[in-house]
Amino acid sequence: MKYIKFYFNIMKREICSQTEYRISFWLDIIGNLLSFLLVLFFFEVIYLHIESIGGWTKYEVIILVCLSQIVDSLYEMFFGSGVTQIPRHILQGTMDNILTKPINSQFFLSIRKFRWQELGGTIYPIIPLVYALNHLPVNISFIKVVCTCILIISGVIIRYSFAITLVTTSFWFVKSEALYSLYQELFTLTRYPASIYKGATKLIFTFVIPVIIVANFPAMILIRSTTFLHFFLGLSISIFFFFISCQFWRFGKKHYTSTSS
Amino acid sequence: MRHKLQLYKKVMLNTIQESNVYRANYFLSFLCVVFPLVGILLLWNKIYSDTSLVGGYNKTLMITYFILATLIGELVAPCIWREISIDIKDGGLSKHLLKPLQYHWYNFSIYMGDKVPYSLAGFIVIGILVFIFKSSFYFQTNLCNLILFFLAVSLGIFLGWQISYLLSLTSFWLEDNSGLFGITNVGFAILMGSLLPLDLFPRIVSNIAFFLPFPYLLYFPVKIYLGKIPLDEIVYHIGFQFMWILILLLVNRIVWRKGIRKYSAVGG
Repeated sequence: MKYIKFYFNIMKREICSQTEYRISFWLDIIGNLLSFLLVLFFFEVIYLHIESIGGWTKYEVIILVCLSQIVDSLYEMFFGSGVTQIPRHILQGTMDNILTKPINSQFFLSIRKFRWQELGGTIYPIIPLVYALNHLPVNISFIKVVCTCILIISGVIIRYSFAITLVTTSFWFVKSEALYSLYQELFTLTRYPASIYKGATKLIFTFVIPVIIVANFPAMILIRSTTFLHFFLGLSISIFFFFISCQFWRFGKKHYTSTSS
Repeated sequence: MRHKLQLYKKVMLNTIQESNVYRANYFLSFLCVVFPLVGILLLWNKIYSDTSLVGGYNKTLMITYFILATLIGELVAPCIWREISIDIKDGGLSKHLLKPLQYHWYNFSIYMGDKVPYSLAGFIVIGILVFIFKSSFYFQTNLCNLILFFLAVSLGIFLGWQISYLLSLTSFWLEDNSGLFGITNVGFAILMGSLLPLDLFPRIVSNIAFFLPFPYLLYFPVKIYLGKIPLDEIVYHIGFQFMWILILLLVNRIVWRKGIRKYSAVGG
């Protein structure tokens, strides 16, 4: 209860601080929308010339791209800015203030920035998503939608767990920003159909760096009549990575030596 | 004149030396470009397992197109605009106005100093990629095409600088132009041909693009390498590159004159 109230306060504070620079706030939103449309345009043009990519038709890929965008935006909205600031707190020693607060440090650091700009990114992909679903011969049952939503959340958890693991390394290394942008680029691979990977790459991208799980799994639940094996696999892998990242954070925290003064 | 050129050269060498300190960063930032590229290459690899020709490109040409497009895309991408904007906003421009160097060429030296080590890192990374995909990389053996390719790329880099500088000068009028760059980047990706080869687009889009300077940054140089443009047409396109460079040089000069009149040397 305390945490929920706390969270609402953060959201209120953030909408004030972000809308202060109104023009850059809107430019951010437009930029986000444009880069999403760019990906859709990319696949539109490719599908002018071909029928399918390893069994994925145009509408299926549109659904995949939309889901990938939703996961991305959810991650950026809830955790993105907070997580990227962690290395700075560690380097400059301002972690002291946070560690002394009566709240879980990982929780607090991860959620302390709420990016309202990303809200659009979680909503506008729904339009092409519904449009594409209408063009596919699939029955959407309530249970499918629920499972898809749960897998979207586990995709966000995977994104988050990887990010927090990366920034935790800044307890030891100074330069983790470059690694973080590398990670961001790596997770742009979520928008491609899983069928482009084969053999070892497929295994790595499912179990080691699970970019396939993030968007492909919810998409498959939604449009393919797959068994619910995907569902349980996706869910358990995301929980596993979340658990590991929490442990790693706790381990890293022990190495924290307040730097300033 | 010679003395001045030496000064500009010195500025460029300084920038190269500076970036040499952060060598590891260069490789990491280039890896950031390579990850999406690997995704795209795997995507095309899969597409070509079902078909042999997409919009007139076979697999070799397509893979080569994207590898080269990534490298050249980085070389012509706008950079140091942030520094120029800060100069204009915070009054740092004043001290440059007193120097015996022209602001435009001074920044061009820095721009080149940024691009040279970056392209070296790029060549190494791309070299590794070519090695991995060597069975589907197109090696151009015609010397004439290769020379014209390098000429077109060099002109493209210079043209890219002109566009980047023009965009930076908008900070004389705009409060915060970082959003502008976010938006123009999307337009660039389409119009340069770094998203997809321009001839795959619907006619309308590619026809609009051909009326603009952007295809001369990336699309035409890569097509010259691939040998898909006949020689007499290449000459004609390189003429267009020169034309756009001259136009933009002139526009930049006018915009600079207008802007400097508006410049108020904040904090100076």
